[in-house]
Amino acid sequence: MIDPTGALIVEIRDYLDDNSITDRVRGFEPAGSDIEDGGDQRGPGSYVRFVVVVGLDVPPDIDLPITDARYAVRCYGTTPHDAFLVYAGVVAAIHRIGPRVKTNGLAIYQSFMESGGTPEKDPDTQQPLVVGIIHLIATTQEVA
Amino acid sequence: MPARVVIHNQVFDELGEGIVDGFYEAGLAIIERNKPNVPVQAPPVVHDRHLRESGRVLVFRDGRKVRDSGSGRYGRLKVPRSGIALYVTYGFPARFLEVGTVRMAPHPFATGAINAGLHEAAGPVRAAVDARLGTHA
Repeated sequence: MIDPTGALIVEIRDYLDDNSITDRVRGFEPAGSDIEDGGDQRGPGSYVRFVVVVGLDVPPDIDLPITDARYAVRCYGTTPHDAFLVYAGVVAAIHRIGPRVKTNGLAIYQSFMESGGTPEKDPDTQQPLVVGIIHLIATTQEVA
Repeated sequence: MPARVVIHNQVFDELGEGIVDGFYEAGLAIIERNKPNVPVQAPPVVHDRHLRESGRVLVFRDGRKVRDSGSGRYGRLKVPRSGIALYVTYGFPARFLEVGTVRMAPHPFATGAINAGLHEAAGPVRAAVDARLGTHA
């Protein structure tokens, strides 16, 4: 089974980077402070934009070689408005983009933002964020 | 002579109530089946109940709450003004466990169970509608 998570992260990162929003798009958890630039986890006054993509439910279909998956995206910004700008970038990157085939043979039939968009604060660092739920329908095997 | 259509409002109302009953049963089944997947290391939640016991099912009909397996306040819900809506929720800190925080890795336990349970909701709904209308599938 092909994991569509990597393709999703690359799509989001490419769009956000091309539009000068951020290139910090992570899978599962933020980058720690052990990386060169100090990582994503910063305290008040030194927040940076970043996105974390979390697979919530990626089940293979019982009959077809597809998955009907859900991902959470946590979009962090320096202010609530800034966090929404990051969220809006993620929406632009994946919402109703339509069928496409990735270089590894993964085919994505459709992806869209199913819910989300409300401002929140991270309970650990109080950094503003917006959470969204992505609905992704993709193949679980390579297509020609 | 023009054709005459008689709408049995009472039957439609009973049909709606049957769907409400079915949604509620389906929600309760999701909560029960998912209990083993709820993280046990989570801190206690309101009323001294642990997260595993905090699962709650709410059903709304035309914007009005008609079934509730719990009591007290519940989180923000975008309840539609028309139609029947089922909500399966968990207490604090379920949301942060589900999607993670800056310093806590995600531990998704609800989304998969709810999606799988919704795929199986037709059975309880059919049984509840049959019971309301006195019909058989």
